[in-house]
Formats: sequence, C-alpha cells, structure tokens
Amino acid sequence: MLPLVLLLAVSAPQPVGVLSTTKGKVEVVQPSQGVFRQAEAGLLLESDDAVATGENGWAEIMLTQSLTLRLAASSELKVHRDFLFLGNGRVWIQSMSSPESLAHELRVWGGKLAIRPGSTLIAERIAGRGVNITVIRGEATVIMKNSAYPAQSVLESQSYWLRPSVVGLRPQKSSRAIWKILSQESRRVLGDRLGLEAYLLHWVQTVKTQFRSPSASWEMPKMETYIRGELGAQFDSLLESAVRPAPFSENEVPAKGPNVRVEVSFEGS
Amino acid sequence: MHLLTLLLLSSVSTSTTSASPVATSSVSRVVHTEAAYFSAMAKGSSSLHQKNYGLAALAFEQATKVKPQSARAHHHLAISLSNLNRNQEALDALAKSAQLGNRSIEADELRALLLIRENQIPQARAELAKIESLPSALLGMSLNVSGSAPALYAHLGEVSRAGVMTTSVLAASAASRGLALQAHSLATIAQDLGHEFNQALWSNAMRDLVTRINEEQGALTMRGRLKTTFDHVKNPEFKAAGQTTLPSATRFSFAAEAALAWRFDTFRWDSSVFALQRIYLAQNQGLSDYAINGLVWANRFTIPLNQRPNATRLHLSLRVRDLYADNFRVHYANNIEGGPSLRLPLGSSSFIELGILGTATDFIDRSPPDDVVSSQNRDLVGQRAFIELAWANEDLSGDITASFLRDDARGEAFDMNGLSLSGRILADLSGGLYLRTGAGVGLGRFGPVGEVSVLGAAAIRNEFRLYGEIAVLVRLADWLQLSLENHYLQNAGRTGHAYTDNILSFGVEVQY
Repeated sequence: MLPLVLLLAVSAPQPVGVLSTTKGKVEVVQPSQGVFRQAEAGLLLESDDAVATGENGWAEIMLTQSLTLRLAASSELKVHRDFLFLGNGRVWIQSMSSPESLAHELRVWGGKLAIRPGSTLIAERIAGRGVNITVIRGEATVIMKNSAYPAQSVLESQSYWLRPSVVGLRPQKSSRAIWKILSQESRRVLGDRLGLEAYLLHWVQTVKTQFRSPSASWEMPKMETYIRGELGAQFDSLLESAVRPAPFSENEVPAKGPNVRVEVSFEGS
Repeated sequence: MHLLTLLLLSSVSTSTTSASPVATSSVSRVVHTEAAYFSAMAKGSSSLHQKNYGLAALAFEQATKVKPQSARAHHHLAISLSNLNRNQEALDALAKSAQLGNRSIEADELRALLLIRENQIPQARAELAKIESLPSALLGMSLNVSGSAPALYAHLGEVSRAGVMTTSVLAASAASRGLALQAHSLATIAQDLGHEFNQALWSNAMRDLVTRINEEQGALTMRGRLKTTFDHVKNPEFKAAGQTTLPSATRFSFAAEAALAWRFDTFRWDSSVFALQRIYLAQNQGLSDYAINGLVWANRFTIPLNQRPNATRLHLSLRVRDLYADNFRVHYANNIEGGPSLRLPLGSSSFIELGILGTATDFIDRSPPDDVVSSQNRDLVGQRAFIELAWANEDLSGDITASFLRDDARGEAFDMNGLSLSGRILADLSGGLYLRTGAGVGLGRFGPVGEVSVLGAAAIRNEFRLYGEIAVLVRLADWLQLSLENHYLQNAGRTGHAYTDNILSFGVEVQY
C-alpha cells in the first residue's frame, strides 16, 4: 500500500508556476488536455503548459526561481521547467533570483536569451521583423541560432533586434518607450498596489503652497553695485556718489583745457 | 483516461526505478512544497488585487514560510505590509528580499515610499536618485529632488492616466515653490485631463488647487510693511580718513513700502513704492544734509517662457529713485535703471540669473552739495551686467552675484569701470530665528582724466571696496520681525579718499 501511495504522490505533476493575475481573455493549453481553455487566476501551471492572451488579454505568471512574467495582449508563451518559449507577442520578465543562480533561458524564433538572475527585460516578437529585446535592469545574452557569430550581450538600458536573417547587429540605447507602455498596462490591471498614487494624490491635495508675495523694491532690479543692507542698498550708494568728491583732486582735473603743462627753461639764464 | 493513467504510472515507474524510498519522499515533499508555495502566492496576489491587504499579508507570509528563500514572496509581503501601514515591517521584508537577489525597480520605488512615510527624507532622496521610472520621478517631485522634473516633461499634458498624474504633480510642485503662474496653468490642464479620463479624484484635487491659487494668489495681491531702525553710524558724512568729521552719530530710520503683484494669464507684474526718512538725533543741524528722504518706484514683469514649473523666466525691471535730504530741502539726485534678465532654473531649488541693465543718474544742478563736490558734472549713464547664482533649501538659502559695472559720466573724473563680487546667506535656525551674513568686494577704476599717454598712471584712480554684514532676525509672528544688523564698509582709495563706515542697527518690522 505504501509504495502505491508514494507512487501516487510522486505522480502528482509538479507545478512550475501559477497564473497569479489575469484580465480579459487568457487561455491555457496543457499537453494532457490538448485544447485551449479559459484560465483563471490561481491556476497552477505545469511544465510544457502554454499560455495565450487574447486581444484584450493580460496575464501575470509566477514561475519557479522567483521569475515573474507579464504577458501582453495577443501573446503566446510556453513554460517549461528549464526554459520559456515566446511564440508570439510581448512578455515582461523579472527575475528576483540571487546572482548565484543559473541563468534563465527564453527561447524565441531565431535564437535564445540567457537572462542573468536579478534582471528585468522585455521581449517582443514582431512578425516579419524579428524579436526586440529591451533590458531594463541587469543583462541578457542573445545567442543566435545557426550563426557563427558570437553571443551578444545586451546591457541595462539597451535594446537589441534579433533577426534571423540579419547578423552583426549591435545593441542600441533604448528609449524605454516600450517599458513605459508596459508599465502603464500593468498599472491598469494591477492598480496602485504599492500605494504610490494614493500618496501622490494626498500630497497634491495637501501641498503647502508658498506663493511669492509682491516683490520688494530692493529686489527689482536685484542688482546693486555693492550690497549694503536692504535700506542702504537703495540710497546709500546714491548718497555717497552725491556727496563724495571725485577720486581726483580739483587741481588734477582742471575744469577746462588740456592736462598738459609745458615748461621751458633757458640754459644759462 | 486509462491511457493517461498508464502513461503516468509508466512515467513514474521509469523515473523511480532507481530511486530509493528516501529520494521518493524528497521528491514528494518538493512537489508538495511547490504547490503550496504557488497556491499561497496566487491567493496573496488575488487578495492584493482585491485590496484585502490583511489576507494578502497572511498568504505571502505563508509563502515565505514554505519557501524562505523566495525573494518574490518577501517582496509581495512587503507590498501587503506597506498597504497596512506597517512600514518598518515592510522595510524589513524588502531588505530580506533584496538580500535574496531582488533588484527590481518596484522594490526600489516601494522602499523610497516607505522611507518617505517614515520621514527618512534624505534616505528616500538617495533611493530615488538611483531609479529611472515615472513613479520615482513623481515621488522625487514631491520631495523637490533636483533632476526629477525633466523625466516628467514627456508626460506633461499627455492624454493618458500618466499624463493626468504627471501634470497634477507638476502643478502641485509649482505651487509649493510659489510659482503661481505655472501652477495655475498646469492645474487647469490637469483638471481637464482628469475629466477626460474620468479621474475624478485627481480632477477634484486640481480644481481645489486652482481655487487655492485664486484665493491665496488672486489676480491682485498686495503687501505693506513698515520698518523702523535705530542706527548707530560711524562716519556719517562719508569723510575720508584724516579729515575732520563726526566720529559717530545716532539716527532713526523710518521706511514704508506698499507693493502689489498683478497676475495676468501668462505673466506677472510686481510694483512697489518705497519711502525712507532718516532723522539724526544729535547734531541734527550739522547732519541735516545726511538726513535723507528717499523715494523709489520699482517694477518688474515676469514672463515664464513655457508652462513647465522649471521654466526659464524673463524679467523686465524698471526702478526710479529720487533722493532728497533735510526734509526735501536738498535734492541730490534722481536715477532710473532697468533692463532684462533671464532666470535659468538649475533644478527645483536653485537658479542662475543673467542680466544687463542700464542706469542713468542726474545729480541735481545747483543744489548745495553739487556745488561743493566737484567742478565736473557727475551726471552719468552706465551699464551693469551681472550673473547671479541663488539657491533656497529648507534651512539655508543664499546667492552669489558677480557684476561688471560701467559709468560714463559727463565729467571724465567720474567715469568708472568696475567689477564686484558679493554673496549672502540666510540660515533658518528654527524657532523663528534667522541668521543672515554677507560679504562683497569691488574694484573700481576711475578716469582716465586727460591724456593717458601724457599722464600715465596718474590719469586713473583705483578704489577697492570691502563690505561685510551680519544680521540676526527674530520672527515673532507672521507680521512682526525684530532685527539686529551690522554693516561694515571699507573703501581703500588713495590718501584723502580712503574711509570706513559702520552701521549697527536694531529694527522692528511690521508686515501686512
């Protein structure tokens, strides 16, 4: 009896992840079932299960090794115990694994990515163009299929196009536009779960305004020859100019005529 | 179904043929652990989504017990605890998560928010400086983190939810820094965007902000103040060293100012009228020429060059001064000066201002002092160019100004080219106590008189001036302030022209 119980326990499929949040049309196909069926949040995923989102679909998936995925609309992703496969669409991947862990593998058409633990990236397959990889944090290494070219490292804030028909492309600095779109999508579905918006709204509602009083005369223009205090600045320099003599003596500066004195001396006189 | 069972059994039997009972038990435990972990995570996520934070915290706590090495479980536990305002516990959970490898931006954002809530503002600022994201930039704006604003400009007025939030936060930030023009404009835009996107809370907040701006900074605001100081003055006659003079004198100064600011749609006009009367308490006959009566009318137009809170501002200034003495019996001079200046923000709390001003002074002919000062006409037209760096933090504000000065007088002895550098600092010592200190140096070159090629160095005169001030201000109420100030000036000219003066004054100021 005991061996049978043990066998049954072992025979229970080991989950590799869970659909933690869904919105809109999200379907899962499990090899054992063979057909797509509507999936709800909380569904445990097994190795080789595939998740597909509809045109209005969105899904968050938590996998082993602290890997979290967010699947955008019209996307397909297969989860395997050892790798992921992006069939179509766009996926946001965040790893919270420790640096000592093994790299995560994302397979795409035309190659695969080794995602360094602790990284966050977005991969998007655009039919006819290839796969775009944007690394938000950390690093990913792109390995092209059937290519003699070496693996290409994509660093933080870089973007890379993986095109099976083109080799030798270099990573470019990313505008992060795609990340902003995905962040907004996530916020729409997940809401303000950190409480950031609530904090900002409260701050906006209660911000202490400090409107400037009408400016004082000594500030307009805020320009003095020498600073002499608020009251002195406006009048003392003017008074000083009015009462102080010129820096030259009067005999140095005749009212009229040239400042030239001609002396003539006669020898012997 | 039978086929499936067979497949499963065969699969299990294949995989366990070489496994010992201990290994089988271990596998079973792993299966159970994974399932329990993911169930707890899913339950927590669902509760989090439904804003049932207590239940979410319990579920994620359970997940951390099942898998203590899960950085994600600790991360989500921190989110739940944060929403329960258990900030310190949330920070601890985040620290644990980070220790296990969590380097996510969301974790950094949450940490910054928790630090703000815990009033650990410097740490929060440091945290925000590391993150490049919209939420972090918005949080940064709420803390006046320099450099946050540019990241938000892309979303300013954007037709999106992010646009509503960003424009609202920028409006509030502008209001918090006294930029009424920008705040009003941005709040109006944000209110409209909020309506469009059905963001009632944000829209209402902006409506309230517009109301506050209109109430506190209506189209027309006024300010009045009276200041009386009792001054002990050394060398009140500006006499040069060695000349006979009164060593010191005491006087009262009375100053009154009425100012207004008129906010138009896109610009602001400040105008102020200021009057000063000085009365010497002893030897008032001998010092009557120094018992000045001064009048000033000053104006400034402020024009922001765009709607951003950190917009460059164009100032156009004009000031007219008229100086009399002895109860208006002596008319010394009148002066008009003004010009444009450009204020360039360097962040949320500092700026550089560049300006070019023109100045013209008419020393009144035939008034007694004019006759005795010089046979040359001192009337002048001059130019001023300056650059000012100013900053204002919660506890410390200040400015440094460097200027080029040029006076072109009718009498060549009063022509002058000069440079000056001055700085001032105001420190808030808390409890209504402020300390202000400043210093300045200036170099003026007068002349040349006659032909330089003939007279050589004798054709010019240099003067070096040194200035220092220190003041303690005590704000007893919003409308009442006491001050104790000392101003010192040393003018190092040639013999017969060098002098020093010092003013020690105690003052009372009443503001409306």
